[in-house]
Amino acid sequence: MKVYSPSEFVYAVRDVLHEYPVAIQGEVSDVHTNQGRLFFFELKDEYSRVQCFLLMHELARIGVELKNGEEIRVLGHPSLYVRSGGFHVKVRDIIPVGEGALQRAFTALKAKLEAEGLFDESRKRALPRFPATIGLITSSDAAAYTDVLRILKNRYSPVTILHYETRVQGVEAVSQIVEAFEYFNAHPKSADALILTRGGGSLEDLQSFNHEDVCRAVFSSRIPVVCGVGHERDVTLAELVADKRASTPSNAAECATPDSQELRSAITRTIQTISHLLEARVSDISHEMRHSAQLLDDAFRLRRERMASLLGSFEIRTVQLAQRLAALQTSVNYTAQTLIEREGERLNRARARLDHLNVFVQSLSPTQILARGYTITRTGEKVVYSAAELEPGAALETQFADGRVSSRVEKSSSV
Amino acid sequence: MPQKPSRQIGKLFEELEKITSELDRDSVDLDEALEKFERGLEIAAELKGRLRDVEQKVEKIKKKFADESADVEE
Repeated sequence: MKVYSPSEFVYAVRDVLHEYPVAIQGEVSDVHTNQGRLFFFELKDEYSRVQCFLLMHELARIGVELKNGEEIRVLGHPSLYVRSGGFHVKVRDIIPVGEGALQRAFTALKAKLEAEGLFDESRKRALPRFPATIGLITSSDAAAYTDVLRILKNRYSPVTILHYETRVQGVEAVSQIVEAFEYFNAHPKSADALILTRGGGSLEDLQSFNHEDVCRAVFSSRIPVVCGVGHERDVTLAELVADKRASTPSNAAECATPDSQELRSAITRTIQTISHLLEARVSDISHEMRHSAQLLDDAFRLRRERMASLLGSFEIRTVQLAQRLAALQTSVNYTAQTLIEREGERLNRARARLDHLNVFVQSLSPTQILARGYTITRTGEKVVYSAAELEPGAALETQFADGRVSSRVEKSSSV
Repeated sequence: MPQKPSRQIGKLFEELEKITSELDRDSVDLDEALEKFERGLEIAAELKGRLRDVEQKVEKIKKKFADESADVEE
C-alpha cells in the first residue's frame, strides 16, 4: 500500500475529485467574504451542509446576488483546500431556483442587457429571404426539433438544415449552446441563418435561454439568429437579443424561410404582371400606329379635299371663261360686221371719188390736151417754153396728137 | 462545389423581380421587352421546378471541431 504524505494525499484526492462535476441544489447559508477576494457560503438541507467557495470576481461574472435562505443550484466540482484539507465545492456557476429568485435574476439580467443595448431594434439584421442552409441549434429529443423540421419540410424543402445537437436545459445546456454559436460563426459560410429553439416550460426550464452567456453568444453571432421558445407566453432573454423573435419553434422555422406555396403564387402573379406589362406595351404601340395612320389619313384627306375644291372652282372658272369668250366672240363678230359694213361704204365712196379723180387726171394728160389742138415744140430733146429760146435756123420738132413734123425757124419776134 | 439549388432560387427570384421592374419602365423597346418576357417565363418555370417537393436534407454536425475538414456528416 502506498504511503502518502498529507499534502500528497490532499493533492491526490483533489485530482480525483476534480474529475466529477456536480450540481447541488439547496438553501444558502453562512454567506461571508474574506479579504474582499474570496467568497464563501454553505448549501444546506435539513440533514447536511456543503461548503462552497469561489473568487469574488467569478461571483461578479456570474452576476447573481446571494442571500442567506435563498434556494440556488450550484455547478462546480468537489475539491479540498490544500492547507486545511477541508472539503468544499469549487463553484463554477450559480443558478437561482425557486420562482422568486429566478424572476429576480431574470429581471436583473434583463435590465443589464437592455442597458448595454443588446435588445436594440436598430442593430437587428434582416433574415435572408432565400436561405440555402439553416443552422439549427436545439436538442433532437425536443418536440421543437421535430416541429422545426416538419415546418421546414412542408414550407421550403430546398433548404439544407445543419443540426448542431445541444442540450436545452440542465447543466451542460449553456456551454453547448455557446459552442454551437462558436461553431457556426467559425464556419460562417455553413449557414445563412441560425434557429435557436426549444419547447416551453417553467422559468427554471428556460434558464439556459435566459443565461447571460447564451444571450451574448446570440448577440455576437455574425449570422442572423431567429429564436423561438415553446409557447408564445414564454419570453426568454435570448429571444429578445435575437435578430428575430419567433412565437414558437414552428414560427421560428416560418420566420427563417419563405413559403414555397406563396412563392409559387408570387411567381404566377409576377408572370401575370409581366404579361400585362407586355400587353400594355403592345397596345400602346398599336395605338400609336393607329394614331399615326389617322394623322396620315387626315393629312391626305385635307389635301384631297383642297384639291377637289380647287378642281371645282377651276371648273366654274372654266365655264365662266367660256361664257365670257362666247360673249366676246359675239361682240367681236358684231364689231367686225359693223366694221365691214362701214368700210364697204367708205370703199364705195372712195371708189366714186377715185373715178372722179381719174376723169380729172385724164383731163390733165398732155395727150388729152394735144387732142384739143395744142402742140408740144422741142428743139433737140428739149421742150421749148419760150420764143426767145430759139434762133432763126434752129431745127424744131412739133408733136401733134396724131404725129410729129420737123421744121426750121425763119424768124422770131416777141408778142 | 456546385451551387446549392436554394442559392440559385434566390438569384433567380431576384432576376425575375428585376425583369418585372425593367418591363415597368417605358424606355424598354418592344424587342427587348419580348426577350425579357421570355426570360421571365423561363425563370418562372425553373423556379417552380426547384420549389417542387424535394427530399429534406438534414446534416448532423459532429461536436467539438475536431476534424475541421469533415465536420459535417450526412
